Amino acid sequence: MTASAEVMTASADGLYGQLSRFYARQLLLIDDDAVDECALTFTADSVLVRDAQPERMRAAGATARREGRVKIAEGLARTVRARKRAGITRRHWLSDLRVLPGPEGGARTRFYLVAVDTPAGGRPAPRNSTVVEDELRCQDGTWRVHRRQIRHDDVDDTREKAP
Amino acid sequence: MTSPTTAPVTVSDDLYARLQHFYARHMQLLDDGDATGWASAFTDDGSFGQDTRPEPRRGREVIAERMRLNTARLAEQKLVRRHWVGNLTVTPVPDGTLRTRYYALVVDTPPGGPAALRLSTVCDDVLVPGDDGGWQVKSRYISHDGVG
Repeated sequence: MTASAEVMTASADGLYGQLSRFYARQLLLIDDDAVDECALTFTADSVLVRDAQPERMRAAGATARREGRVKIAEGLARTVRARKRAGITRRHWLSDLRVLPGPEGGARTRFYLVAVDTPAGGRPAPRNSTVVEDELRCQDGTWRVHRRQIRHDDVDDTREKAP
Repeated sequence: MTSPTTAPVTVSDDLYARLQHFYARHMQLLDDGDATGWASAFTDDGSFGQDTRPEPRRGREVIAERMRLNTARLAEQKLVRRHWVGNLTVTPVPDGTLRTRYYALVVDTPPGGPAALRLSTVCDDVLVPGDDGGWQVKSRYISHDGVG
């Protein structure tokens, strides 16, 4: 798809603005510890895949793949508990959002996501730098993530070609 | 409330969203190592200047070649670089061009981490309409924070 075609298609019907707002809400929810509400921004049969460093995954009790909103909610809850135990405030920053039309009236996105962690009384620092690719579905007028793939920049050889 | 005497000149929501998307795609191409694809956003005679260099690079091919060297060096160092675009402002000019001004934050991650902020910059672009309904970069000037 040419640059202009990609850009023009996604701006149709305000899709780009809709998804910008969707992500702002989703990330605020997780940073505000609203695990159940955040889980509802995923479809019931959604899949979350990520490639973080194996040792970091083990340390966090995380898994590379979670299937279904229930499992995803468990993962979110675990992450929130760990962060609270550590006394860390986390803010997710999104940038460079790209949007492509997806199958069945859905959408595909690719964007950068960084978690900025601040320990109690300490200085903020980026925890990691990631590239996220989502497939989204529109259900009952609401966007939901159907499949999410998170690639961490600190994993060797993470470079992936654009969609 | 009284109207301001000089209302800010602005662009439609649709055009603003398109330009956000334009920059997202542009930067992702660069960060994916596709310097040629990234440079295709410039006009044939486009210029690329920085306050850290006395002379701007002129011409899409020259700009592309220099950036290919940069991306090759990063790949050699196994550094993953991300260009974060923020605070985009767009001003239309009566001659049909657009002036954009935005922040670009450069985040570098070595294998095993940690991610670190490398540069904070402000970019000033002049965009001209392309043949296909999109926009092309006629000139870019990057000001690095902490320089000059």
